[in-house]
Amino acid sequence: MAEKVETGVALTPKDIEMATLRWWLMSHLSYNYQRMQAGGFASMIGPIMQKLYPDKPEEVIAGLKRHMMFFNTEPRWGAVIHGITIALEEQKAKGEDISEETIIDLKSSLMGPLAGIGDTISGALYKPVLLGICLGWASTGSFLGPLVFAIGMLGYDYTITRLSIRKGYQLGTTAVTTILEGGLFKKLTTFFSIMGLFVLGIMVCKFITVDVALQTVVAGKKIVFKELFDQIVPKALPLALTIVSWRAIMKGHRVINVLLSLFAFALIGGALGIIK
Amino acid sequence: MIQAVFVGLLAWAQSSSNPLGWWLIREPLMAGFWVGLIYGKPVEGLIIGAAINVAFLGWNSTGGANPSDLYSAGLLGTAVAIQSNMSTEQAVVVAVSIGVIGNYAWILFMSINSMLPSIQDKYAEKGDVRGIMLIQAIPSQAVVILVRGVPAFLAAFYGPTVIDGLLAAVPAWGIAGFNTVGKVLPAVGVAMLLKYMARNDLLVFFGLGFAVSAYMGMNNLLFGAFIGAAMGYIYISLQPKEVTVNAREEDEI
Repeated sequence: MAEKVETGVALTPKDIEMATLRWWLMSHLSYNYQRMQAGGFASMIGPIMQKLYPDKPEEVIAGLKRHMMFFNTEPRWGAVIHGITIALEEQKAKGEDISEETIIDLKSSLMGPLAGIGDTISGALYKPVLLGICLGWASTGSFLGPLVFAIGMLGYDYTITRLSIRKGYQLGTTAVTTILEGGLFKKLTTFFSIMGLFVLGIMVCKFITVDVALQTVVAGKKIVFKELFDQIVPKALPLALTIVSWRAIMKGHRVINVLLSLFAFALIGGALGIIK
Repeated sequence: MIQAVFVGLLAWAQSSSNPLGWWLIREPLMAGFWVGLIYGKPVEGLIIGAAINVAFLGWNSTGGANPSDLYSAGLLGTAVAIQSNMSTEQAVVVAVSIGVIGNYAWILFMSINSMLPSIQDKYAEKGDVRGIMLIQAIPSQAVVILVRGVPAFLAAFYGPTVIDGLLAAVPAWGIAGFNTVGKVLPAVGVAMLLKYMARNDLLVFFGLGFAVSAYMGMNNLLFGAFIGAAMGYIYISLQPKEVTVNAREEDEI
Protein backbone atom coordinates (compact mmCIF):
# COMPACT_ATOMS: atom_id res chain seq x y z
CA MET A 1 0.00 0.00 0.00
CA ALA A 2 1.11 3.52 -0.72
CA GLU A 3 1.66 6.14 1.96
CA LYS A 4 -1.65 7.80 2.78
CA VAL A 5 -1.05 8.78 6.35
CA GLU A 6 -1.57 12.49 5.88
CA THR A 7 -5.23 12.10 4.90
CA GLY A 8 -5.91 10.18 8.10
CA VAL A 9 -8.30 7.33 8.81
CA ALA A 10 -11.96 8.03 9.58
CA LEU A 11 -13.55 6.23 12.49
CA THR A 12 -16.73 4.27 11.86
CA PRO A 13 -19.78 4.00 14.15
CA LYS A 14 -18.62 0.48 14.89
CA ASP A 15 -15.35 1.78 16.32
CA ILE A 16 -17.33 3.96 18.69
CA GLU A 17 -19.58 1.04 19.67
CA MET A 18 -16.59 -1.16 20.42
CA ALA A 19 -14.94 1.59 22.46
CA THR A 20 -18.19 1.94 24.42
CA LEU A 21 -18.28 -1.78 25.12
CA ARG A 22 -14.64 -1.84 26.21
CA TRP A 23 -15.19 1.06 28.61
CA TRP A 24 -18.44 -0.38 29.93
CA LEU A 25 -16.90 -3.74 30.79
CA MET A 26 -13.36 -2.73 31.73
CA SER A 27 -13.50 0.73 33.32
CA HIS A 28 -13.04 -0.42 36.91
CA LEU A 29 -11.44 -3.87 36.55
CA SER A 30 -8.10 -2.64 37.89
CA TYR A 31 -9.53 0.26 39.92
CA ASN A 32 -6.75 1.53 42.22
CA TYR A 33 -5.58 4.40 44.36
CA GLN A 34 -2.62 5.24 42.15
CA ARG A 35 -4.45 6.25 38.98
CA MET A 36 -8.07 5.18 39.48
CA GLN A 37 -9.60 4.55 36.01
CA ALA A 38 -6.52 5.37 33.90
CA GLY A 39 -6.02 1.77 32.76
CA GLY A 40 -9.68 1.61 31.79
CA PHE A 41 -9.40 4.77 29.73
CA ALA A 42 -6.25 3.54 27.99
CA SER A 43 -7.92 0.18 27.26
CA MET A 44 -10.92 2.02 25.82
CA ILE A 45 -8.91 4.26 23.50
CA GLY A 46 -5.96 1.94 22.70
CA PRO A 47 -7.48 0.23 19.65
CA ILE A 48 -8.72 3.63 18.41
CA MET A 49 -5.17 4.96 18.49
CA GLN A 50 -3.97 1.91 16.55
CA LYS A 51 -6.62 2.48 13.93
CA LEU A 52 -5.88 6.21 13.65
CA TYR A 53 -2.13 5.67 13.24
CA PRO A 54 -1.68 2.43 11.29
CA ASP A 55 1.84 3.37 10.16
CA LYS A 56 3.01 5.54 13.03
CA PRO A 57 3.74 3.41 16.09
CA GLU A 58 5.40 6.37 17.82
CA GLU A 59 2.07 8.24 17.74
CA VAL A 60 0.28 5.23 19.22
CA ILE A 61 2.86 5.12 22.02
CA ALA A 62 2.48 8.86 22.70
CA GLY A 63 -1.32 8.43 22.76
CA LEU A 64 -1.22 5.49 25.16
CA LYS A 65 1.11 7.38 27.47
CA ARG A 66 -1.10 10.46 27.63
CA HIS A 67 -4.15 8.32 28.34
CA MET A 68 -2.43 6.37 31.11
CA MET A 69 -2.56 9.51 33.23
CA PHE A 70 -4.71 9.75 36.37
CA PHE A 71 -8.39 9.67 35.48
CA ASN A 72 -11.51 9.33 37.59
CA THR A 73 -15.11 10.22 36.88
CA GLU A 74 -18.59 8.78 37.08
CA PRO A 75 -18.38 6.04 34.45
CA ARG A 76 -21.76 6.67 32.78
CA TRP A 77 -22.36 10.42 32.43
CA GLY A 78 -18.61 11.04 32.55
CA ALA A 79 -18.25 9.05 29.32
CA VAL A 80 -19.05 12.28 27.49
CA ILE A 81 -15.35 12.96 28.05
CA HIS A 82 -14.47 9.76 26.20
CA GLY A 83 -16.55 10.79 23.19
CA ILE A 84 -14.95 14.23 23.07
CA THR A 85 -11.47 12.76 23.49
CA ILE A 86 -12.03 10.31 20.63
CA ALA A 87 -13.23 13.18 18.43
CA LEU A 88 -10.18 15.26 19.31
CA GLU A 89 -7.77 12.37 18.71
CA GLU A 90 -9.39 11.76 15.34
CA GLN A 91 -9.00 15.43 14.36
CA LYS A 92 -5.41 15.42 15.60
CA ALA A 93 -4.63 12.35 13.51
CA LYS A 94 -6.09 14.11 10.48
CA GLY A 95 -3.53 16.83 10.96
CA GLU A 96 -5.55 19.43 12.86
CA ASP A 97 -3.50 21.58 15.20
CA ILE A 98 -4.53 20.02 18.50
CA SER A 99 -1.81 19.79 21.09
CA GLU A 100 -1.33 16.99 23.57
CA GLU A 101 -1.87 19.51 26.39
CA THR A 102 -5.30 20.43 25.03
CA ILE A 103 -6.47 16.83 25.28
CA ILE A 104 -4.97 16.27 28.73
CA ASP A 105 -6.36 19.55 30.08
CA LEU A 106 -9.78 18.81 28.70
CA LYS A 107 -9.92 15.41 30.38
CA SER A 108 -8.73 16.59 33.77
CA SER A 109 -10.90 19.69 33.83
CA LEU A 110 -14.08 17.82 32.91
CA MET A 111 -13.81 14.68 35.01
CA GLY A 112 -14.70 16.49 38.26
CA PRO A 113 -17.84 18.34 37.17
CA LEU A 114 -19.18 15.33 35.27
CA ALA A 115 -18.52 13.06 38.23
CA GLY A 116 -20.59 15.48 40.28
CA ILE A 117 -23.49 15.30 37.86
CA GLY A 118 -23.23 11.56 37.36
CA ASP A 119 -22.91 10.65 41.02
CA THR A 120 -25.92 12.79 41.84
CA ILE A 121 -28.18 11.35 39.16
CA SER A 122 -26.98 7.73 39.22
CA GLY A 123 -26.04 7.21 42.84
CA ALA A 124 -28.18 9.59 44.82
CA LEU A 125 -31.35 9.76 42.72
CA TYR A 126 -32.03 7.09 40.10
CA LYS A 127 -30.68 4.05 41.92
CA PRO A 128 -32.25 4.75 45.34
CA VAL A 129 -35.69 5.33 43.82
CA LEU A 130 -35.54 2.14 41.77
CA LEU A 131 -34.05 0.25 44.69
CA GLY A 132 -36.73 1.50 47.05
CA ILE A 133 -39.50 0.24 44.80
CA CYS A 134 -37.79 -3.11 44.24
CA LEU A 135 -37.13 -3.55 47.96
CA GLY A 136 -40.86 -3.15 48.51
CA TRP A 137 -41.45 -6.19 46.31
CA ALA A 138 -38.48 -8.17 47.57
CA SER A 139 -39.38 -7.75 51.25
CA THR A 140 -42.60 -9.65 50.56
CA GLY A 141 -40.62 -12.38 48.79
CA SER A 142 -41.52 -11.36 45.25
CA PHE A 143 -38.92 -12.13 42.56
CA LEU A 144 -40.12 -9.03 40.74
CA GLY A 145 -37.75 -7.12 43.06
CA PRO A 146 -34.40 -8.51 41.84
CA LEU A 147 -35.66 -8.87 38.27
CA VAL A 148 -36.78 -5.27 37.85
CA PHE A 149 -33.69 -3.98 39.68
CA ALA A 150 -31.29 -5.95 37.46
CA ILE A 151 -32.98 -4.86 34.23
CA GLY A 152 -33.47 -1.29 35.44
CA MET A 153 -29.83 -0.82 36.47
CA LEU A 154 -28.10 -2.71 33.65
CA GLY A 155 -30.29 -0.97 31.08
CA TYR A 156 -29.67 2.43 32.62
CA ASP A 157 -25.94 1.83 32.97
CA TYR A 158 -25.39 0.79 29.36
CA THR A 159 -27.82 3.26 27.80
CA ILE A 160 -26.37 6.30 29.55
CA THR A 161 -22.78 5.22 28.85
CA ARG A 162 -23.54 4.67 25.16
CA LEU A 163 -25.48 7.93 24.77
CA SER A 164 -22.78 9.92 26.59
CA ILE A 165 -19.98 8.65 24.35
CA ARG A 166 -22.01 9.18 21.18
CA LYS A 167 -23.11 12.68 22.18
CA GLY A 168 -19.59 13.59 23.22
CA TYR A 169 -18.20 12.32 19.91
CA GLN A 170 -20.83 14.11 17.81
CA LEU A 171 -20.82 17.42 19.58
CA GLY A 172 -17.16 17.65 20.56
CA THR A 173 -16.37 20.29 23.13
CA THR A 174 -19.75 21.99 22.83
CA ALA A 175 -21.33 18.89 24.37
CA VAL A 176 -20.08 19.79 27.78
CA THR A 177 -21.41 23.33 27.83
CA THR A 178 -24.78 21.95 26.76
CA ILE A 179 -24.81 19.59 29.71
CA LEU A 180 -23.23 21.87 32.29
CA GLU A 181 -25.08 25.07 31.51
CA GLY A 182 -28.32 23.85 30.00
CA GLY A 183 -31.31 23.62 32.30
CA LEU A 184 -31.63 19.87 31.72
CA PHE A 185 -29.46 18.80 34.62
CA LYS A 186 -31.20 21.08 37.07
CA LYS A 187 -34.62 19.92 35.93
CA LEU A 188 -33.61 16.26 36.18
CA THR A 189 -32.26 16.61 39.71
CA THR A 190 -35.30 18.58 40.87
CA PHE A 191 -37.63 15.97 39.39
CA PHE A 192 -35.76 13.05 40.95
CA SER A 193 -35.40 14.85 44.28
CA ILE A 194 -39.15 15.38 44.59
CA MET A 195 -39.95 11.83 43.57
CA GLY A 196 -37.19 10.45 45.79
CA LEU A 197 -38.07 12.50 48.84
CA PHE A 198 -41.73 11.51 48.62
CA VAL A 199 -40.81 7.82 48.36
CA LEU A 200 -38.29 8.27 51.17
CA GLY A 201 -41.03 9.61 53.43
CA ILE A 202 -42.98 6.40 52.83
CA MET A 203 -39.86 4.31 53.41
CA VAL A 204 -39.52 5.73 56.92
CA CYS A 205 -42.83 4.08 57.80
CA LYS A 206 -42.32 0.92 55.79
CA PHE A 207 -38.75 -0.06 56.67
CA ILE A 208 -37.96 1.41 60.09
CA THR A 209 -40.18 -0.88 62.11
CA VAL A 210 -39.11 0.01 65.65
CA ASP A 211 -41.91 0.98 68.02
CA VAL A 212 -42.52 2.15 71.57
CA ALA A 213 -42.96 -0.82 73.92
CA LEU A 214 -43.33 1.07 77.16
CA GLN A 215 -46.49 0.64 79.19
CA THR A 216 -47.35 1.44 82.73
CA VAL A 217 -50.24 1.10 85.16
CA VAL A 218 -51.59 4.29 86.70
CA ALA A 219 -54.41 3.99 89.24
CA GLY A 220 -55.34 0.53 88.06
CA LYS A 221 -55.54 1.70 84.46
CA LYS A 222 -53.12 0.34 81.91
CA ILE A 223 -51.50 3.00 79.76
CA VAL A 224 -49.94 1.83 76.52
CA PHE A 225 -47.69 4.62 75.29
CA LYS A 226 -47.75 3.39 71.71
CA GLU A 227 -51.50 3.98 71.50
CA LEU A 228 -51.09 7.50 72.84
CA PHE A 229 -48.43 8.33 70.29
CA ASP A 230 -50.38 6.75 67.45
CA GLN A 231 -53.30 9.09 68.09
CA ILE A 232 -51.07 12.12 67.56
CA VAL A 233 -48.32 11.15 65.11
CA PRO A 234 -48.14 7.48 64.14
CA LYS A 235 -44.60 6.32 63.37
CA ALA A 236 -43.19 9.29 65.28
CA LEU A 237 -40.25 7.25 66.60
CA PRO A 238 -38.95 6.12 63.18
CA LEU A 239 -39.30 9.71 61.92
CA ALA A 240 -37.46 11.14 64.92
CA LEU A 241 -34.61 8.62 64.59
CA THR A 242 -34.26 9.41 60.89
CA ILE A 243 -34.20 13.16 61.36
CA VAL A 244 -31.77 13.04 64.29
CA SER A 245 -29.40 10.80 62.29
CA TRP A 246 -29.69 12.98 59.21
CA ARG A 247 -29.01 16.19 61.15
CA ALA A 248 -26.03 14.55 62.84
CA ILE A 249 -24.56 13.53 59.46
CA MET A 250 -25.19 17.02 58.08
CA LYS A 251 -23.40 18.53 61.07
CA GLY A 252 -20.34 16.57 60.03
CA HIS A 253 -20.50 13.63 62.42
CA ARG A 254 -19.00 10.52 60.89
CA VAL A 255 -21.58 8.02 59.67
CA ILE A 256 -19.92 5.20 61.56
CA ASN A 257 -20.43 7.14 64.81
CA VAL A 258 -24.09 7.76 64.01
CA LEU A 259 -24.43 4.06 63.29
CA LEU A 260 -22.79 3.08 66.58
CA SER A 261 -24.95 5.55 68.54
CA LEU A 262 -28.14 4.11 67.05
CA PHE A 263 -26.78 0.64 67.74
CA ALA A 264 -26.24 1.45 71.41
CA PHE A 265 -29.58 3.26 71.72
CA ALA A 266 -31.52 0.34 70.25
CA LEU A 267 -29.60 -2.32 72.16
CA ILE A 268 -30.19 -0.65 75.53
CA GLY A 269 -33.73 0.48 74.75
CA GLY A 270 -34.65 -2.98 73.53
CA ALA A 271 -33.04 -4.75 76.47
CA LEU A 272 -34.89 -2.51 78.94
CA GLY A 273 -38.18 -3.04 77.13
CA ILE A 274 -38.71 0.64 76.29
CA ILE A 275 -38.72 0.06 72.55
CA LYS A 276 -39.26 -3.05 70.50
CA MET B 1 -18.73 -27.23 51.98
CA ILE B 2 -19.73 -27.06 48.33
CA GLN B 3 -22.26 -24.38 49.18
CA ALA B 4 -19.55 -22.33 50.90
CA VAL B 5 -17.39 -22.71 47.79
CA PHE B 6 -20.25 -21.30 45.71
CA VAL B 7 -20.56 -18.38 48.13
CA GLY B 8 -16.84 -17.75 47.63
CA LEU B 9 -17.26 -17.80 43.85
CA LEU B 10 -20.23 -15.47 44.15
CA ALA B 11 -18.09 -13.09 46.22
CA TRP B 12 -15.51 -13.10 43.44
CA ALA B 13 -18.05 -12.37 40.69
CA GLN B 14 -19.74 -9.76 42.86
CA SER B 15 -16.54 -7.79 43.45
CA SER B 16 -14.96 -8.14 40.01
CA SER B 17 -15.76 -4.45 39.42
CA ASN B 18 -17.86 -4.42 36.28
CA PRO B 19 -21.53 -3.61 35.63
CA LEU B 20 -22.58 -7.27 35.66
CA GLY B 21 -21.15 -7.74 39.16
CA TRP B 22 -22.48 -4.39 40.35
CA TRP B 23 -26.06 -4.81 39.25
CA LEU B 24 -26.60 -8.57 39.23
CA ILE B 25 -24.87 -9.49 42.51
CA ARG B 26 -23.51 -6.56 44.51
CA GLU B 27 -26.68 -5.07 45.98
CA PRO B 28 -27.79 -7.07 49.06
CA LEU B 29 -31.18 -7.54 47.42
CA MET B 30 -29.50 -9.43 44.57
CA ALA B 31 -26.86 -11.15 46.69
CA GLY B 32 -29.56 -12.35 49.08
CA PHE B 33 -31.43 -13.99 46.24
CA TRP B 34 -28.35 -15.81 44.88
CA VAL B 35 -27.19 -16.95 48.32
CA GLY B 36 -30.72 -18.13 49.04
CA LEU B 37 -30.62 -20.11 45.83
CA ILE B 38 -27.33 -21.75 46.86
CA TYR B 39 -28.86 -22.87 50.16
CA GLY B 40 -32.15 -23.88 48.55
CA LYS B 41 -34.17 -21.04 50.07
CA PRO B 42 -34.34 -18.28 47.42
CA VAL B 43 -37.42 -16.58 48.89
CA GLU B 44 -35.96 -16.43 52.41
CA GLY B 45 -32.65 -15.21 51.00
CA LEU B 46 -34.42 -12.49 49.05
CA ILE B 47 -36.35 -11.27 52.10
CA ILE B 48 -33.20 -11.21 54.25
CA GLY B 49 -31.21 -9.48 51.49
CA ALA B 50 -33.92 -6.84 51.11
CA ALA B 51 -33.92 -6.15 54.85
CA ILE B 52 -30.14 -5.75 54.83
CA ASN B 53 -30.35 -3.55 51.76
CA VAL B 54 -32.51 -0.96 53.51
CA ALA B 55 -29.71 -0.21 55.96
CA PHE B 56 -27.50 0.43 52.91
CA LEU B 57 -29.87 2.69 50.97
CA GLY B 58 -27.51 5.63 51.21
CA TRP B 59 -24.38 3.65 50.37
CA ASN B 60 -22.38 5.41 47.69
CA SER B 61 -19.90 3.83 45.35
CA THR B 62 -17.62 6.85 45.15
CA GLY B 63 -15.68 5.85 48.22
CA GLY B 64 -16.23 8.46 50.88
CA ALA B 65 -17.61 7.70 54.29
CA ASN B 66 -19.37 4.38 54.01
CA PRO B 67 -19.70 2.99 57.51
CA SER B 68 -20.03 -0.59 56.33
CA ASP B 69 -19.14 -2.55 53.19
CA LEU B 70 -22.11 -3.21 50.91
CA TYR B 71 -20.59 -6.22 49.14
CA SER B 72 -19.81 -8.46 52.09
CA ALA B 73 -22.75 -7.30 54.23
CA GLY B 74 -25.37 -8.48 51.76
CA LEU B 75 -23.63 -11.64 50.63
CA LEU B 76 -22.20 -12.92 53.90
CA GLY B 77 -24.96 -11.47 56.06
CA THR B 78 -27.46 -13.57 54.14
CA ALA B 79 -25.18 -16.62 54.04
CA VAL B 80 -24.75 -16.64 57.80
CA ALA B 81 -28.35 -15.68 58.62
CA ILE B 82 -29.91 -18.30 56.37
CA GLN B 83 -27.80 -21.10 57.84
CA SER B 84 -28.48 -20.02 61.43
CA ASN B 85 -32.22 -19.50 60.82
CA MET B 86 -32.04 -15.92 62.06
CA SER B 87 -34.84 -13.38 62.03
CA THR B 88 -34.44 -10.61 59.45
CA GLU B 89 -33.73 -8.10 62.25
CA GLN B 90 -30.87 -10.24 63.55
CA ALA B 91 -29.60 -10.68 60.00
CA VAL B 92 -29.36 -6.90 59.56
CA VAL B 93 -27.25 -6.54 62.71
CA VAL B 94 -24.92 -9.38 61.70
CA ALA B 95 -24.66 -8.01 58.14
CA VAL B 96 -23.77 -4.47 59.19
CA SER B 97 -21.14 -5.85 61.58
CA ILE B 98 -19.63 -8.05 58.86
CA GLY B 99 -19.58 -5.01 56.57
CA VAL B 100 -17.56 -2.96 59.06
CA ILE B 101 -14.78 -5.56 58.77
CA GLY B 102 -15.44 -5.94 55.04
CA ASN B 103 -14.47 -2.31 54.43
CA TYR B 104 -10.86 -3.44 54.69
CA ALA B 105 -11.27 -5.74 51.69
CA TRP B 106 -12.03 -2.69 49.55
CA ILE B 107 -8.98 -0.82 50.83
CA LEU B 108 -6.81 -3.90 50.15
CA PHE B 109 -8.22 -4.25 46.62
CA MET B 110 -7.50 -0.61 45.78
CA SER B 111 -4.02 -0.73 47.37
CA ILE B 112 -2.76 -3.94 45.78
CA ASN B 113 -4.12 -2.83 42.39
CA SER B 114 -2.04 0.31 42.68
CA MET B 115 0.93 -1.67 41.39
CA LEU B 116 -0.81 -2.27 38.06
CA PRO B 117 -0.59 1.16 36.34
CA SER B 118 3.20 1.02 36.50
CA ILE B 119 3.14 -2.27 34.58
CA GLN B 120 0.68 -0.77 32.09
CA ASP B 121 3.10 2.14 31.62
CA LYS B 122 5.73 -0.32 30.39
CA TYR B 123 3.32 -1.71 27.79
CA ALA B 124 2.39 1.85 26.77
CA GLU B 125 6.09 2.55 26.11
CA LYS B 126 6.04 -0.35 23.64
CA GLY B 127 2.72 0.64 22.09
CA ASP B 128 1.29 -2.71 23.20
CA VAL B 129 -2.48 -2.17 23.50
CA ARG B 130 -3.19 -5.84 24.15
CA GLY B 131 -0.75 -5.82 27.03
CA ILE B 132 -2.47 -2.85 28.65
CA MET B 133 -5.85 -4.55 28.30
CA LEU B 134 -4.59 -7.83 29.75
CA ILE B 135 -3.13 -6.07 32.79
CA GLN B 136 -6.39 -4.16 33.08
CA ALA B 137 -8.47 -7.34 33.16
CA ILE B 138 -6.55 -10.28 34.61
CA PRO B 139 -4.29 -9.64 37.64
CA SER B 140 -6.98 -7.81 39.63
CA GLN B 141 -9.14 -10.93 39.43
CA ALA B 142 -6.52 -12.76 41.50
CA VAL B 143 -6.64 -9.88 43.97
CA VAL B 144 -10.42 -10.19 44.23
CA ILE B 145 -10.21 -13.93 44.83
CA LEU B 146 -7.66 -13.31 47.57
CA VAL B 147 -9.35 -10.44 49.42
CA ARG B 148 -13.00 -11.34 48.72
CA GLY B 149 -13.45 -14.93 47.55
CA VAL B 150 -11.38 -16.75 50.16
CA PRO B 151 -12.65 -14.75 53.17
CA ALA B 152 -16.22 -15.24 51.93
CA PHE B 153 -15.73 -19.00 51.75
CA LEU B 154 -14.35 -19.06 55.28
CA ALA B 155 -17.16 -16.88 56.64
CA ALA B 156 -19.86 -18.95 54.96
CA PHE B 157 -18.28 -22.18 56.20
CA TYR B 158 -17.29 -21.31 59.77
CA GLY B 159 -19.46 -18.23 60.35
CA PRO B 160 -22.72 -19.94 61.37
CA THR B 161 -21.00 -22.07 64.03
CA VAL B 162 -19.36 -19.00 65.54
CA ILE B 163 -22.54 -16.94 65.39
CA ASP B 164 -24.69 -19.78 66.78
CA GLY B 165 -22.29 -20.08 69.71
CA LEU B 166 -22.44 -16.35 70.35
CA LEU B 167 -26.24 -16.25 70.17
CA ALA B 168 -26.58 -19.22 72.53
CA ALA B 169 -24.51 -17.38 75.12
CA VAL B 170 -26.64 -14.22 75.01
CA PRO B 171 -29.52 -13.94 77.56
CA ALA B 172 -33.10 -13.21 76.51
CA TRP B 173 -32.97 -9.47 77.21
CA GLY B 174 -29.82 -9.30 75.10
CA ILE B 175 -31.65 -10.95 72.20
CA ALA B 176 -34.50 -8.43 72.62
CA GLY B 177 -31.99 -5.59 72.36
CA PHE B 178 -30.33 -7.28 69.40
CA ASN B 179 -33.65 -7.56 67.54
CA THR B 180 -34.43 -3.89 68.21
CA VAL B 181 -31.10 -2.86 66.70
CA GLY B 182 -32.12 -4.55 63.47
CA LYS B 183 -35.32 -2.51 63.40
CA VAL B 184 -33.51 0.78 64.05
CA LEU B 185 -30.50 0.49 61.71
CA PRO B 186 -32.46 1.15 58.50
CA ALA B 187 -32.72 4.74 59.82
CA VAL B 188 -29.03 5.16 58.91
CA GLY B 189 -29.73 4.15 55.32
CA VAL B 190 -32.64 6.56 55.01
CA ALA B 191 -30.69 9.36 56.75
CA MET B 192 -27.74 8.96 54.37
CA LEU B 193 -30.09 9.18 51.40
CA LEU B 194 -31.71 12.26 52.88
CA LYS B 195 -28.26 13.83 52.97
CA TYR B 196 -28.00 13.44 49.19
CA MET B 197 -31.57 14.16 48.18
CA ALA B 198 -32.73 16.80 50.60
CA ARG B 199 -32.94 20.39 49.46
CA ASN B 200 -34.55 22.81 51.86
CA ASP B 201 -37.07 23.99 49.28
CA LEU B 202 -38.14 20.43 48.50
CA LEU B 203 -38.16 18.97 52.01
CA VAL B 204 -41.93 19.39 52.18
CA PHE B 205 -42.27 16.42 49.83
CA PHE B 206 -40.49 14.20 52.35
CA GLY B 207 -42.96 15.32 55.01
CA LEU B 208 -45.83 14.71 52.63
CA GLY B 209 -44.69 11.17 51.85
CA PHE B 210 -44.30 10.42 55.54
CA ALA B 211 -47.70 11.88 56.43
CA VAL B 212 -49.52 9.96 53.70
CA SER B 213 -47.91 6.72 54.81
CA ALA B 214 -48.10 7.24 58.58
CA TYR B 215 -51.73 8.36 58.74
CA MET B 216 -53.21 6.33 55.90
CA GLY B 217 -51.06 3.21 56.20
CA MET B 218 -50.20 3.51 52.52
CA ASN B 219 -46.81 1.87 51.98
CA ASN B 220 -46.83 0.86 48.33
CA LEU B 221 -43.57 2.34 47.06
CA LEU B 222 -44.35 2.01 43.36
CA PHE B 223 -47.58 3.92 43.87
CA GLY B 224 -45.55 6.47 45.84
CA ALA B 225 -43.08 6.77 42.96
CA PHE B 226 -45.90 7.50 40.50
CA ILE B 227 -47.38 10.17 42.75
CA GLY B 228 -43.89 11.59 43.37
CA ALA B 229 -43.16 11.65 39.64
CA ALA B 230 -46.41 13.45 38.94
CA MET B 231 -45.66 16.03 41.61
CA GLY B 232 -42.11 16.43 40.28
CA TYR B 233 -43.42 16.98 36.76
CA ILE B 234 -45.95 19.58 37.90
CA TYR B 235 -43.32 21.34 40.02
CA ILE B 236 -40.90 21.64 37.11
CA SER B 237 -43.64 22.78 34.73
CA LEU B 238 -44.59 25.59 37.08
CA GLN B 239 -41.03 26.91 37.32
CA PRO B 240 -40.53 30.20 35.45
CA LYS B 241 -38.57 29.81 32.23
CA GLU B 242 -34.95 30.77 32.72
CA VAL B 243 -33.61 33.61 30.63
CA THR B 244 -30.43 32.47 28.92
CA VAL B 245 -30.13 35.00 26.13
CA ASN B 246 -26.89 33.97 24.48
CA ALA B 247 -25.08 34.87 27.67
CA ARG B 248 -22.99 31.81 27.01
CA GLU B 249 -21.29 33.20 23.94
CA GLU B 250 -19.88 36.12 25.84
CA ASP B 251 -18.26 33.80 28.32
CA GLU B 252 -16.19 32.18 25.64
CA ILE B 253 -12.65 33.32 25.26
